[in-house]
Amino acid sequence: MTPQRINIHQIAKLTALAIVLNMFEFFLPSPIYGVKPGIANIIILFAFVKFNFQSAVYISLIRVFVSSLLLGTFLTPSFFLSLFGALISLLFLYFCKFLSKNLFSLFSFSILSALGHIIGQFIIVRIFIIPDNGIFYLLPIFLLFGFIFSLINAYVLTKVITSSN
Amino acid sequence: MFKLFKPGDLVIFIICFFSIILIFINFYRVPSGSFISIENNNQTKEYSLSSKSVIELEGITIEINSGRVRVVKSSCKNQYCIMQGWISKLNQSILCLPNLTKISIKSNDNNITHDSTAY
Repeated sequence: MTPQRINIHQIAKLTALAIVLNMFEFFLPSPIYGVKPGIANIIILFAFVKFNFQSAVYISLIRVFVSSLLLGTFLTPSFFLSLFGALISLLFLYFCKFLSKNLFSLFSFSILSALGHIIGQFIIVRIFIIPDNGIFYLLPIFLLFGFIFSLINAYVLTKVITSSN
Repeated sequence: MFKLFKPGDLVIFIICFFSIILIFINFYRVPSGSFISIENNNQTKEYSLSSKSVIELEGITIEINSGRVRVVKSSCKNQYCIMQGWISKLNQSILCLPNLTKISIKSNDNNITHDSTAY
C-alpha cells in the first residue's frame, strides 16, 4: 500500500470522525473504571497507514483537545492522562514507521500504540497523580485489556481497508 | 491486496503477550516468607522455614518441613488448627486459641508486605 497525499479537508474529516468515536466511547459502560476500547485509535491508525505519520499526529492531538473541550475535562487530570497517553502512543507509532511494511501490518502498529498509550498514562499517574508504586499492580490488567482491544481495533480497520479498496 | 496478518505481527504478538503474562506473574505472585514466629503463652520464638523439624510445646506439636508449617497434634477440643493443614505463604497464620498459640510466617524484607492497593 503506497501512502497517498493528504490535504487539510481530509484531516478535518478524519478528526471529526475520531472525535465522534471518542464521544461514543465516553458513554459506553465499562466494567473497570478506565478500561476503554479506544475506538478513536482506528482513525489514527487509518491515517498512519493510508497517509503519513504527520497526519496521524494532527488527528490524534486535535482529537484530544477538542473532545476534552466537549466533555468538559479540559486541563483536568483525565485530560493530561489522555494527552500523554496519546503522545507516547504517537512516539511508538513513529518507531513503527521504520518497520518493514512487508513484514509488519496494522496489527503490530495497533498493539504497539495501545501499549504505548497505557505506559504513557502510567508514567503520568506515577509522577503526578498517585505517587506510589502500588499503582503498578494495575498495569498488567490495563495492558491485557489494551492488548485485546488493540487486536479488535486492528481487525476492524483491516476489514475497513479491504472493503474500501 | 492488503494482507491480514504478516509474519512480523506474529513476533510482536508473541513478545507482547508473553511480556504481559510475565508482568502479571511478577506482580501477583504471593511472596513466600523466610521464617516463622510462634507465640505460645506470651513467649515468642522464631524458627527458620527451611529447616526440617518437629517442635513440641505445651499441648501442641508443630511440624516444619520444606518451607511449610502445620500443627500435628493439639490438645484442644475442636482441632481447627490441625484441619487448616499446611501454610507456606507470607502473612498466613495458624491460631490455636485454647493453647494460646499463634504461628505466622514472616519475612525480613519489609517492602513485600503490601496487602492492599489504594485506587
